[in-house]
Amino acid sequence: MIRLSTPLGDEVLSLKAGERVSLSGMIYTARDEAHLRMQEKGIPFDPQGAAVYHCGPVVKDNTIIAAGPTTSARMNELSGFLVDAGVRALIGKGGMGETVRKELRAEGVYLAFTGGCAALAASRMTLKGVFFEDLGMPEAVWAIECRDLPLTVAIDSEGNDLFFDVRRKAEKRFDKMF
Amino acid sequence: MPQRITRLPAVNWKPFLKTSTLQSESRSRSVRTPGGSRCSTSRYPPHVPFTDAIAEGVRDGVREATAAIPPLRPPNVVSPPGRGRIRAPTAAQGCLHCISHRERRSASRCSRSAGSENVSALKMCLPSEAGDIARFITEAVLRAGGKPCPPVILGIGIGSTADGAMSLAKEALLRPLGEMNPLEQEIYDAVNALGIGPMGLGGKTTCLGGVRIREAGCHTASLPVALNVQCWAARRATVEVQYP
Repeated sequence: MIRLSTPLGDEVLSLKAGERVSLSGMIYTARDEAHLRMQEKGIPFDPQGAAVYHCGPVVKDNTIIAAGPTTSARMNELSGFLVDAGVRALIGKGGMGETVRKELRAEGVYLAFTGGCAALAASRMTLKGVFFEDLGMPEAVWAIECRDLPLTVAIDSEGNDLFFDVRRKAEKRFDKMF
Repeated sequence: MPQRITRLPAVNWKPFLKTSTLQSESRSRSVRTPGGSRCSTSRYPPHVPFTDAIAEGVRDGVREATAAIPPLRPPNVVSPPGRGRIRAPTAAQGCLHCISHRERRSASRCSRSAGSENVSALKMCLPSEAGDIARFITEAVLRAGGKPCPPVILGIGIGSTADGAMSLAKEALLRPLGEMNPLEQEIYDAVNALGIGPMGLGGKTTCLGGVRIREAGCHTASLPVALNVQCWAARRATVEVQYP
């Protein structure tokens, strides 16, 4: 298990798809609406070396109750500006598309967290603040301090993509079957 | 399995629905993960119209669950395609699914995220294409990849009409896991041979022990096939009601 902490630097460039990492430090949640708002109004946090988590948490009394990942592919065409601004890691589930794979080249990584394990994620998180709260609980940008979040490197900075490889193999098997 | 038998007056469904919503949430709470207020399928006893009282019962249940600790996330519902936010009371109605059903007098609630619901698929097959159903479903699962949080359970509706087939697919997901018929087994084997694996990261198990098909009669010139996908976190609750 490779230990990482934010703000992230060039160490992410040596990560390889398939490796497991443990992430600590500040991360920021963002889903569809937050991406659109940030493109319009600017990124409300320091993007240098930041990690963005595709997640709409459940928050109660300033505590993170659940914080499972949402399907990252919805942000396939919305993420370039983050990487351009210095974001080094996108975190989510289900994989991302070719556009993101190219954008992350020599810049950063996409890390996968297990969908449905919202309680595990929350148990390692402390809420630090919120931006764009008017977007509603799931769509707001929450600043969260995390401790040892277990993740898998799914897209590395050299263009290797675990999800894409699995998909390509599955397509071949499909063609053989039908 | 039904969790408890509740005897209710003939017309007052509100407290029953309220109880059902809360029960389901308390089950989520026992594993400390809110099931989400996202997509749900609900099924009501025969000849019970989807009345304001039912909608109100669900709304009240959701309202109480979001105030509880740990809470259910507040309904996250917008008006398509403008994306304007809809307040909770209207929200519940849009996601409810009301079916007249003669076999059992029960209401079920299962929840899953948009990652699963977004990979739903419908094909209006030609009657001559009955042999291609396994291919269509397997291709839809292939396209879905890791998005619906595999290992998944597949609900398949065959027959009826375009809208009816999707309802059948949702209802099929309520059938407990267990034995499969030959077509279900064929689809199960094909889907697991894809190697998509848990979360789409590769592996032997893409479908978690369940392909569920539900059929209904259809026009001779028609063969609707619908797929509705349930993620591995298949949290559900059913309440059976004795109804005079």
